[in-house]
Amino acid sequence: MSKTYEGMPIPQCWIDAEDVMEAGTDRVIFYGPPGTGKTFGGLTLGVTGGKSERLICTEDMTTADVAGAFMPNVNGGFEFLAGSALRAWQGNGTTGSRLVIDEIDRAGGDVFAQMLAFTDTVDSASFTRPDNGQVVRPLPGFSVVMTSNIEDPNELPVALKDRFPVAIEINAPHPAALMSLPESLRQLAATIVAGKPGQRASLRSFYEFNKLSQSPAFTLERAARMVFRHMADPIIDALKIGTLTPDFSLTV
Amino acid sequence: MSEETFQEPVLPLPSVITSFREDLVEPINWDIVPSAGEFGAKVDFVSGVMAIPLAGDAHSQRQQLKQLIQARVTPLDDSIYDELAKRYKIQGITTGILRAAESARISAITELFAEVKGLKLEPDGSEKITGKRLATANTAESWDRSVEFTLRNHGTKAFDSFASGVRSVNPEWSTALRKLNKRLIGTFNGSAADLGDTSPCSYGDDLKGPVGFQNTLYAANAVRDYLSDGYQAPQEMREMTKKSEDERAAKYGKTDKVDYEKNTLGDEQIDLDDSDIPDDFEFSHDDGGFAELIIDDTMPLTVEVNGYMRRKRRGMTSGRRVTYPSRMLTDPNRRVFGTKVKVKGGIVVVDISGSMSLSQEDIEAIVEAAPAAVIIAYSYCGSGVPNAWILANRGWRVRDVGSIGGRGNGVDGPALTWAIRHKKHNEDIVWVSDGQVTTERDGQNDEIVTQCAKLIKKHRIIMIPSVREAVAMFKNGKLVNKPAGPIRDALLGKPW
Repeated sequence: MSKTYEGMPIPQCWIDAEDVMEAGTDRVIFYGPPGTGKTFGGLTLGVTGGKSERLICTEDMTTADVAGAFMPNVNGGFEFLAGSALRAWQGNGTTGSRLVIDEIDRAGGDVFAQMLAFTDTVDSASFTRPDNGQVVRPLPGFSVVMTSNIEDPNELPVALKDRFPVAIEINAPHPAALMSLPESLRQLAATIVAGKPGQRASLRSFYEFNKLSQSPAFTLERAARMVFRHMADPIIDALKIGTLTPDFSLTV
Repeated sequence: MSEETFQEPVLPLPSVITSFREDLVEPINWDIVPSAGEFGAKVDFVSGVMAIPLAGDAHSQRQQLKQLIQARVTPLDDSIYDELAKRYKIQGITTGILRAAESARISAITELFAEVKGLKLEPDGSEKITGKRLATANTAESWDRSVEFTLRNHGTKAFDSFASGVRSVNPEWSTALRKLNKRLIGTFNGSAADLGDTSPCSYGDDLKGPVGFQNTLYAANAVRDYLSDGYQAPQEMREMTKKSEDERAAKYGKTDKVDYEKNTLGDEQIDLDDSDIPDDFEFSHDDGGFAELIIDDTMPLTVEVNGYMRRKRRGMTSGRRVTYPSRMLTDPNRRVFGTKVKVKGGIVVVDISGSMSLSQEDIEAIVEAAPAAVIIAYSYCGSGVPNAWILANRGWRVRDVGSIGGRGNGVDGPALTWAIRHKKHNEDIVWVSDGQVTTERDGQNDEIVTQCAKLIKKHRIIMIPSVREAVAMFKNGKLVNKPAGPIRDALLGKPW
């Protein structure tokens, strides 16, 4: 029997992700279409060592975001502020925490190289703090989830694939991410988010659609047009026919 | 010169729609293919193909809506139609009726959505003419087509227009069709959620379908009552249908015309195939079959039948033997040759079970009309005791038939095969029976009914439903095949 969350079936990709984390794998790539909740899953799934750290990669980011950098302080001097990866290594001081790296394939060469160093195995990974010369190593419990919108994991660089042998295609939203939507929208969102290319919409679109359609200023159709644009009519039809409610409304 | 741009049509989302089905275990990843209007539009759950018109006009949008609703509510397993038709065949429910009723359910749900979307069906003017045309034809087929039209268009302005056309020619038809329309409106009066509920529901052993499909069954029953042989059809239509069936049954179920305008509600008329019955066919006596035929040959046939031994001769103008030489002088036509008049005969198999009877007077009347007849009567009276009696045998008959039979049938089939073995060339076999055939244990099953029907078709056995009618036919010298009961239905391919 398939697993469920609040009565909704959990898609296989999320079952795989949970099982992989539970088995102790601490380097995982989540890839797949945008808007399926990969980052949300990375930040919350199997996290034990305090607050998760998140890095969003862009072409303009620097190694300061990863490892850290000297920054001016309130006393007029400079102090070394740890980057996201270093903070995740140290976690709460006794246990490492989760580092979620979004869109690593967009990072520049230097950043990418440093990211590889920080995501290396515990035995190989180390960093010498420039302020006090302390050699820092990841604490036990440190884990990394990398996310990418690529559709084919073979497009990832070889070095990255080597460090992240487990890659899971996240092609459907986790039911937990749908819980903030009204019950009547959850099934629709679940299917459309996991839909075919060209017929997809992201979870964020549904959050906004829900917000707009509950406003008295918007009819269901108008809210759909604002958010889903050319897909508005098929989505409204699917909602009405799917729920078998010709006069469907989300207005509270 | 401006560059023309082609905009891809925005496709509907059937995969999303079917994901709402309560009875779907695995999601369906639909492929959408364009169809030319409603022609070729289909929903195929097995291959995951939905063919729909993709044009943006109102008619195409309506068709698209209907197909999407079909995907949302109709049974996933197409075999439910055949299975339910088999199960309810005794009530006259056919696969065609079920499919048409399901189409009507889908239309009823579609109307609820079409109203909101401004796609309500308006009459196009052809409905009234169609109504007039069908009513003018005044045949059972045209009545059935009117019923079909009502089913497909119930509760719409198109139906009102159609009924008004019918009324201008035949008010009785119009009244009956309006009653059916009202009944269908009542059947499909629920909300879209109720009519289209896809929660799994049992329709009998191992047969599951959506709850909402029950509405289809109710509609199918209503339609069944109004078809030309149903009790709600106009009297004239019922009589017409019966007459047409009687004619077909008399020809052993042979269909000799193809009516291209026939409605799609009935099952296709297929001739009963008797090719699997060999010339020397014998019935099985296994459990569920007939008993063995045991003939009581002790009944004395002591009375000579007039007209068999001393046959009448007739004068002829030509021949081999001069029998009447005096006619050379007395007969202007000089019919001096004599020839024996052919004596009427045949093998008459009479069912004398509890539902039938045969008196001494009946026997005498039959042999008087057909002196060369062999009369064999049968009725199963228990294991190991005689169950068939020869009451007349080519010129001789019993003096007093006494008290025989009056129990079960049990040996109908073997009595027929006995007659087939004993008949002479060009001799008729007449089977006096109400068409009820039963096994040794007085049961009835498809196998024995079908085998008997095939046997009478193969050997062109003349079936007469009562002794009274048989006697009358023998007296006036014309034997007419009038199959009755389950045998008639089997010959017509109908359920019994």
